[in-house]
Amino acid sequence: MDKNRRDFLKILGIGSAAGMAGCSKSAPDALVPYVVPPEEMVRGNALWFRTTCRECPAGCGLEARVREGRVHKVEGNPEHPVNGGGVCARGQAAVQGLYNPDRLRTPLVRDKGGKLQPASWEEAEKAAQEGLARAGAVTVVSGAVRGALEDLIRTWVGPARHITYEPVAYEAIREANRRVFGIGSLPVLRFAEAKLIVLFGADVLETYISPVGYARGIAEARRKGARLVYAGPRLSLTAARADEWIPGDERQIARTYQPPAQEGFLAVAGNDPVTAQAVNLLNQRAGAINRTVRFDRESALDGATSRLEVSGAVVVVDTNPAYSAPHSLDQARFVVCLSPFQTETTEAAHVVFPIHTPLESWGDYEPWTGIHCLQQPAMTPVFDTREAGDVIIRLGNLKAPVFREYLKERWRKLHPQDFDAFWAESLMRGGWWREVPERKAAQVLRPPEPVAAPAEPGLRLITYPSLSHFDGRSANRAWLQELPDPVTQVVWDSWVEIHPEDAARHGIRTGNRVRVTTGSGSIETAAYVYRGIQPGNIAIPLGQGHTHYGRYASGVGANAFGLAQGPAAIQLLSRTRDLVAVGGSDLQHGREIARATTRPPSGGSPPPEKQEELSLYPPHSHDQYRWGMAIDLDACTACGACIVACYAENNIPVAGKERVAAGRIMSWIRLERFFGQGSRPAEPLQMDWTLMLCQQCDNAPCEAVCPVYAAYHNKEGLNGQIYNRCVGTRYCANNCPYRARRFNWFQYERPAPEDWQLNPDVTVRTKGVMEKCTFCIQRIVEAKDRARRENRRLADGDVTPACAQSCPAQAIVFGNLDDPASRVARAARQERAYRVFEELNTRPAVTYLERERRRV
Amino acid sequence: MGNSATLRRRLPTYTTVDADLVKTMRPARRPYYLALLCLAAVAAWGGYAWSVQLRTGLGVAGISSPVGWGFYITTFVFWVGIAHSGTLISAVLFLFRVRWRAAIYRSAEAVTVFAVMTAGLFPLIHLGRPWVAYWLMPYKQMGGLFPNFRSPLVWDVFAVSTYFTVSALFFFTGMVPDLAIVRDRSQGWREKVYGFLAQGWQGTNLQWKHYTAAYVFLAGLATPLVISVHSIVSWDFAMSINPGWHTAIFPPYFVAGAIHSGLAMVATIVIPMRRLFGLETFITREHLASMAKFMIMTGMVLGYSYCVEFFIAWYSNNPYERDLFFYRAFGDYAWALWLLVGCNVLAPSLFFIQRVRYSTPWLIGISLLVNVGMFYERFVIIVTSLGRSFDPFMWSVYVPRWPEVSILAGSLAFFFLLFLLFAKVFPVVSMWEVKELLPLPSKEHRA
Repeated sequence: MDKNRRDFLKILGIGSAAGMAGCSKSAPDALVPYVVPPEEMVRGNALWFRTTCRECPAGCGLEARVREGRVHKVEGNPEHPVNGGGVCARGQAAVQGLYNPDRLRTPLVRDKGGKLQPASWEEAEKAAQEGLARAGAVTVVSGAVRGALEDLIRTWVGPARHITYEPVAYEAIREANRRVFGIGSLPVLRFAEAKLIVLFGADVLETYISPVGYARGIAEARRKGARLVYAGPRLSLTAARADEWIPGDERQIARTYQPPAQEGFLAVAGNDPVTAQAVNLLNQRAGAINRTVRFDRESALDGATSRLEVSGAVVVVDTNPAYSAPHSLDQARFVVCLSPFQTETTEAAHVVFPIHTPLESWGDYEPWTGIHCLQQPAMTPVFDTREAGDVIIRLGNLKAPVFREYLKERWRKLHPQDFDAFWAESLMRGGWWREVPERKAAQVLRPPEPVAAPAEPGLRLITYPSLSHFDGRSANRAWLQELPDPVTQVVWDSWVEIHPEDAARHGIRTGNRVRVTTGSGSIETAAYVYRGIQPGNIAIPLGQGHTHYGRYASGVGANAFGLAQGPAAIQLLSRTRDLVAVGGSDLQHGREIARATTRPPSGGSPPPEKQEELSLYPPHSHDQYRWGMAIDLDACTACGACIVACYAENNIPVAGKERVAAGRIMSWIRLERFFGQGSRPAEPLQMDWTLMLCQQCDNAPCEAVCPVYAAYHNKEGLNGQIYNRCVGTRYCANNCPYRARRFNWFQYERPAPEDWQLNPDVTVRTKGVMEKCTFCIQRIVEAKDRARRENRRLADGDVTPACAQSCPAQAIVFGNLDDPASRVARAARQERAYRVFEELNTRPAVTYLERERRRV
Repeated sequence: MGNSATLRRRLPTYTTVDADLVKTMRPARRPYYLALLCLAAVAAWGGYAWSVQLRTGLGVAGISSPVGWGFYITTFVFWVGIAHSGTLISAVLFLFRVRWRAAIYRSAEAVTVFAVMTAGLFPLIHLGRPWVAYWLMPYKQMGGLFPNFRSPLVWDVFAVSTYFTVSALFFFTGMVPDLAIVRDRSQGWREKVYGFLAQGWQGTNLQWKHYTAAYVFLAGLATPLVISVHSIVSWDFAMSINPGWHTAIFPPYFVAGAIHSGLAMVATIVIPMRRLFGLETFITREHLASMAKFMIMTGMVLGYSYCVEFFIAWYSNNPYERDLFFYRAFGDYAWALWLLVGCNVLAPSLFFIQRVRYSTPWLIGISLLVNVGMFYERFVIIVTSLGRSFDPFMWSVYVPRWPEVSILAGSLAFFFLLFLLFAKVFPVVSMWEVKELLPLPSKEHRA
């Protein structure tokens, strides 16, 4: 019997291998192997290059996985002091910037008729130099680029004519720090050491300064028992993550908040002058300054501005002010733009140079003083583009070698002795980080309170950087457009959140087109009626509404950058309902899928194992491993990084807005978000969530119903899915209580060069077959191969699926359930452990740890 | 007016039976060809819709996640249900010696065979990769792999193909003596074709002896299939774990529903056919009324089943079941539920009134309602259970799109097209069994 079974599995294996080629229709005509492969490259083995994420100013460390000369995935650099191994959704999508089908492929020069025309590099350089010379003194506008590129720019135009432009620059916080502490710098927030964290409109888990590092710190603090409070008018994702949400105007609350007499207090302000100053004084009163709030390191954002007005000759380096600061370039006489993509700014420019994306570039970045992050190209450029630094050297006729050498020379100054070894080590480490001398904020001033705008009747508009698109620079990544917003679950759009009472007054329902008008302009977008926003407030995420940003971003949603925060009016335009949100019911209907508890941990023994054997069939035997996963819902911040990591790792196609509306989103993991009311009366709205993916059931309903054994049980407890055996009855999906299976309703094509991103270890599925989470079986196989070569068994932690790797909060643990000492088996024995729909006797391999809502 | 009394007055001899019934096979007139053309056009449109779906992917249809089965499986179950009448009327009623079956069983069997043929298309249409559908067949594949015998879909393959084989055999066997009559009355190539089909039937005593034995044997073989086919089709649902599907009442409930819809379809077809071919003397109002009575019974069984489903959902205290049945009654598809209750239970109970039972307009009207109601019964079962299962985050509403509607229309056209062709090519009423109803040609009766 056993032998037959093994033979059968072998046959399945052979069948799957033999049929792989048949799965993709467009096979190349001939496969030509390398005659002489490049040194250090073994075909089939991945190379890893450490670099730095430049998707936002946080400066997280990355590792790019390269197969056969192409990057197909980035992961967090576990040694990096900023992120420590996690990456956010936007960081994961960096590869979609690299392979974006709408990248610029040649320099562009505006002709006499005013149209941008392709030109050679020489022509473009000539046109740029002439134009800049005619227009007067050159101003360079760039994002936060502290490091070699900043030095280079300043050698060219001088510090005074270099503007660090960041649409989200936290000026109010820096100003409040200057006024109170005399240090005009962003604070270093030590979340991991805090016991009570109070956030006043600061969405630290979404986009705030360094969200991956903060999520990690908060998760660490929570493991030590810390509590989290959020005050603000919106139930944002961060507010939903908090133990308590205090709805209301955070400016008022911050002024009157009484800190408890307790060690480890940490208050954080959003970017608002009144709040920031009140929070500084609050932190000072509570003794947080120089403990959990420190000023040892300066931030790369310290010199940045979000208000931009330039004139004369302007060189814009890889930033998009024409989108995020409308009219900022109106006074400029001649604009040269360096950008990897067509943007609103390239459209306004006279000469455009296509530059490398960060994954193709040399560079460095110093997000905090002493944290020197290195960037190195992980692959040869996809198109005929150049380093931004090299373009600047040629534009300014600077006496400098190529940018790479310039960078190296700069680093030689950091560590002159034994430089070559230092350089090699730094490249392997992803940078170099040094201790900095302590800098204390001693001077405490009591400045007059900034004058808040008087409360006006009507609505107050809040705009916030969106989790998926930040300030708009990530809007051209299809994965991020398709990543449902964790709170609203909306995809491929922007929206305005409005309270049901306000909505009823205006006759607005979710999905209706509305116009939002402020003193500085108006936009049209869709309404999202949301109980989690206080009456009298409306909120719009930033980042959408591009006009020229490639096929994925252009024409999607509305751009709220032109709107001033503050008084606003809303008006119903039409009753059309074109907002697409995933998810059926907002409520759990008592089914306890995403569980939260308010009881304190008792420390007692775990509940007895409830699952008993109820089957006509003999139990499954596992050779060595039974793979399992534990998801700690108390650590999970719903940031969506795991979802995007899964897209990147497993070649999951992007369906697009229309198909998502029809229920055809392909993601293997989804965030299920439910609303609920607290147990106490008059408690504000609460949001709970869980991650749903294939539960790899031991007693799987999907396996029995498949007529052709495409769904089968493997020896390691996984519910295998053989794509090329699948005939597409969809019975398995119908019979999955978790609805974790995805069907290929179409043949999904990827526009070139996006197909270069495909993971060669994972089959690309054809239309008509079922797919689902495999627990990254390709990684299990790779790790087992490695272990076999080293003649050992797999150890705990040898296999990390893409989702678990990416998680900033380390909420996902993967391992062998049959090994009682493994992290996952220990997690499954915890008091907080539960399995979803356990009563169905599916015996899932995924254990959830329920969320704790700690009393504050 | 009694059955045999009519026959006695209108049909004095065996010869006139032959003459009158073979008349239906005379060359057709223009309206017939026009009807054929229309049906062929609609069927072709359905075929086009399928071709679009094959090229683009199933995504052109309205089915999606989580409602992965929609109109296609609904239509499959609908046609399998329709196919029930034939075997019931011909085999079961034959074994019970119910005499009124003689006039309609040929049409009923034709309905069965064509309905199974139509039904058989739908598992293919709904497959993601129909070009590998043969993997469901039980033969050694990929070096020794058989299909998964635990999957109800594999049982479906056996059940439906067995049912088709036996029904087709039964249909053909029952026709052999009549084909001989047709052979004797035709010339040229037609004689050759019917001669081949008649398999050398001479009507000798020995032939009749073997024939009757074979017929009883086939009837005995077919009878359990009436129960098994739709029980197995119901297991597609009952063997799953979805709320509203995973229930023990499904097999009897589905069989009753199938017979209900089968009878309704036979009535829908036989009543116009009887009028067009002038078969009132053979298919009498008495026969139709008997079918109506049968439909009262099946309708009552269905009504009982509906009540039991709701009762058990409440009584079980299973939250998933309770929520689902509440949703069925008051949710997005509540209209469909109340429509099907009205069509399947309330409308046929009008047959309790004798005038309704004997009125052909009422009969055909109510039969059409039952057809519609039975379609929606399967629709509600499939769509609500999939759209409202365990995980509330994955609740969804299904709306069919043009390919599904086109293919449904195409399947109806395909079925009626086959029936129309049958009506001109084969005798639609069994001559030899009608003759059995006649009094023996004896001096006594001649008088």
